[in-house]
Amino acid sequence: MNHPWRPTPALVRAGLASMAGAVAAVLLGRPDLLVLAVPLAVCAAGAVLTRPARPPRAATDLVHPSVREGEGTLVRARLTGAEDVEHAVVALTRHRFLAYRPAGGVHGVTVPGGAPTVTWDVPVGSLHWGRRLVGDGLVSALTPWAGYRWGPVEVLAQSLLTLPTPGRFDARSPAPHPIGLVGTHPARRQGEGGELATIRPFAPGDRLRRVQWRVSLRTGTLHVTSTLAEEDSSILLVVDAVVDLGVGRGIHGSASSLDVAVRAAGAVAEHYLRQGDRVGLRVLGTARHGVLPMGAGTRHLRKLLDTLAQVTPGADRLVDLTRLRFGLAPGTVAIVLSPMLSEEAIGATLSLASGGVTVVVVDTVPEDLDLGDDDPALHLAWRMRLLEREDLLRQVEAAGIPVVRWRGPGTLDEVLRGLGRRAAAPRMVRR
Amino acid sequence: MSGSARSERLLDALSRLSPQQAALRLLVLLGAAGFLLAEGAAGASFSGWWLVAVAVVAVAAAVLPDSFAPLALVLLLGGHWAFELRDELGGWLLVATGCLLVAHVASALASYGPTSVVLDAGLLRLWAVRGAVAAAAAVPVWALSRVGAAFDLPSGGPVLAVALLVLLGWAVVLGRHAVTRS
Repeated sequence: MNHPWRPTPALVRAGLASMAGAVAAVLLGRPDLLVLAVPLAVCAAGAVLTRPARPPRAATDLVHPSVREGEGTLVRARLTGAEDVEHAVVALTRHRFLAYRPAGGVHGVTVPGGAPTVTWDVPVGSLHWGRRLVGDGLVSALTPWAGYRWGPVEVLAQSLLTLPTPGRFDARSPAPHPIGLVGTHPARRQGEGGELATIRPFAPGDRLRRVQWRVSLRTGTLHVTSTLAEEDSSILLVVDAVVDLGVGRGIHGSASSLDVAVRAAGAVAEHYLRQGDRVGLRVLGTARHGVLPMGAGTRHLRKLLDTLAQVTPGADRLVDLTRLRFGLAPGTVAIVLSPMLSEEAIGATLSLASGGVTVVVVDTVPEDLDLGDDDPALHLAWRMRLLEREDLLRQVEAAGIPVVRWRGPGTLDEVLRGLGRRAAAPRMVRR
Repeated sequence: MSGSARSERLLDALSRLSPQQAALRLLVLLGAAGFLLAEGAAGASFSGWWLVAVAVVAVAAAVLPDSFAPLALVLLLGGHWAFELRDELGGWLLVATGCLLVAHVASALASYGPTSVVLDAGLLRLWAVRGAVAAAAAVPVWALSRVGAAFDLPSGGPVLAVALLVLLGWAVVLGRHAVTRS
């Protein structure tokens, strides 16, 4: 739409008042009124003589289409055909979880005389993961002497993807069932690696540098040191987006259960992908962007964070447990990140465990849960819900699935160590 | 938009007033006050209701600089000068002219954007120069009027001629450019 330049109240004021003063001075023979009117006449003349010829065009875009939580980018406002413009202002619409500088999102710029295009930037920070619209608002421009105004004209929003900032995470325990070819986790089979498996008699094909001379001399037969092979593992992250508990207030405020789950998933994925493992993602309760197959590498990490950033809480509550298929390879470790408050999450967890997959549940209910309201009835309801949750967690633990609360680095250490010992222990089999 | 919604929006906008915008709006009030003081010093008298009316309009002009309230303020002040004083060509006339210009320029600058906008120093300097040029333009007219009054020329003939010339020139300029081009 072509928006015209319009005279401002300042021009109308200067024009009318100076005209009235001059007319009164002439009709009444009052030179003092003419003196009063002259400065306003100069202002009006300045504005009229710099009258604009054609209207400009405005648009905004984003310098970076995706950022991490807490990071910022620039909303770039652009005015083309700005030869007649002296000053332009953009006023960006304020949205939740976005912080502008200046805080109001209003930024003006004085245009150098005759410049055909002018661009100016408004820094914007994103305080919460997810996809949101940025850069919509109003742009207006003024000619010299504040004579004519163009706009305010609406500018369209751009989509900004905010990737979750992974929480701090570190695991010193190896994955219990490494199954790949190369990696960092000690496998159950012997092969090239760093961890001692046993000392055994020499066999054809053994390398000479593996000979254990001390044992060979003592026993009189040649012995070699054998090591455990090192393999990678597959980790499936299951994020429960069916229920979101609490109020998320951005990266500097309280976190909801889904915030904890998403940031924890990002942290675990980053940790294992940097080790060279394969990581997949399944989001429960999201029909779209809910499945990311196993993959490795930094590009896969980026894809995974992209998928996590698009999680919408409770978007699709109808998770059909009978049709839920994970299709996991043996040895995969499934880490379920959930507040364990929905039948869907419990069902999916038990379904994974019954498929022979090692499952660990990470409880994502925040320690300082913000219910967002001081209503006593709400707190009573929450306590009742916690009692129900304890019952559900008992069901999960009865199925042999460990449940740990998310606490950042070391969350999974003890559990994975225990699962590794359990995998290596002798077991009774039916013959 | 309902009245309550409009006033709510106005209060919301005023709550986000930047210090610079607050200063500009204060200048609108100070310009009006300075004009009244200069007028009083030149010999004008004020009635209570008149002062209340000017105060109300001045506050409206400061709160809504992008409206016609500043025009009403300028016309009220100029009209009162015309009715109260006769051929006052002393130094207070220049002071009053400067105050009127300050109120006008401050209103224009306060209407550059939303209440939280901060204008850069370069633009403020540019407007200071413009204000000085506009104020300086009044001095020759004032001096000419003083000369005319000193020589006691019949019925202010030269001033009338200058006024006519200004009026004609101004009418021509406005007539040529009055229609807004889109």
